[in-house]
Amino acid sequence: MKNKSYKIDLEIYIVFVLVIGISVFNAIYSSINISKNQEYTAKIMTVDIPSLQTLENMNLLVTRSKMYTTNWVYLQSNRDEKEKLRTLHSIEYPQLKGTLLGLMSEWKDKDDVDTMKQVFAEFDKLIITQKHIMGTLVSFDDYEDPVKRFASEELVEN
Amino acid sequence: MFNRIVIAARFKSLIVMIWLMATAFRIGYTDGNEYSIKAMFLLNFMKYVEWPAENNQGTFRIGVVGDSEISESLLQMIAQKQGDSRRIEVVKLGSGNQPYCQMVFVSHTENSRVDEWIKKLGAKGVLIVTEDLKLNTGSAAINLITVDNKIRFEINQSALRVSNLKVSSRLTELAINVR
Repeated sequence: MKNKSYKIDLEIYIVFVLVIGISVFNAIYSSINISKNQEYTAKIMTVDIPSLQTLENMNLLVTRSKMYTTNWVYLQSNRDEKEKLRTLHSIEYPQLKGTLLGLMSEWKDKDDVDTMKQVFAEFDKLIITQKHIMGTLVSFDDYEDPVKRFASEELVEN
Repeated sequence: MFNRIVIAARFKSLIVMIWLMATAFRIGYTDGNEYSIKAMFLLNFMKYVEWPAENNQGTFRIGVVGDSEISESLLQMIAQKQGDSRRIEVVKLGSGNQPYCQMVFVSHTENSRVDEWIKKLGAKGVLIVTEDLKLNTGSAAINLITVDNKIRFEINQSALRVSNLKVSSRLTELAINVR
């Protein structure tokens, strides 16, 4: 009888230890998960989402620069957009590039960083071409010059 | 985890999109050489002149009459116009059977025989372009001339009408003389 009671105590003890062990494991696992999720969330909030927003702004900026340059060629008197193109080159793009370069230092995928560097190089070349057009078509006489007009049109149409 | 995959995919697609957008306009293909400028003019005339529908299908042929460096310049520029869907051919025209060309450039070396060439080649739907023709009284539609070391062009509206061609007002604005 005494022997049987001892066996039941041992079983209760084992089950108790198991339950405690599972609980402790669960607590540790949850804690690690929560910690990882916090890290992910922090990265999403501080790097991924700002990077996405800045990339979307960059996309818009590139599109606007092409549109303003095309209008520079075809709409001689559109001074408002000509000024916007100058501002885009001198203020908006350097600021956006600086922000993006800061965020890129946090990117884990090095391929994305390399591709983005190539994108900057391409856009810098595009800006040189746009500035060439801006310098070619300045005065009324420039717009009346078929060599300057045709050459500029060729540049924006390709 | 799913969010991160979605964000990473959006990330890469945005970078590619910007890359495609940022690809530079092609660097201007005129090198300042007289014939590369004239070749650029011819290729631009294609944009601003409207050919009759029956003459405006398939390959666009530019015929060159006489000895001229323009053929090489045209070939170089056409090679750079990779984005264009329309095929452009440059054909050297001589005394034999001539293929139909939508545009014919008559070199100044043939100026003494220009009327002869216009009579031979200037059918409906053919734009005849001459160069340095002092007295452009013939039926050449466009004459390229040099004024103050700059290349300009004259337009002969009656020749265009005879050839059944329409020219955009954007082109006439740039011409120094429209008759």
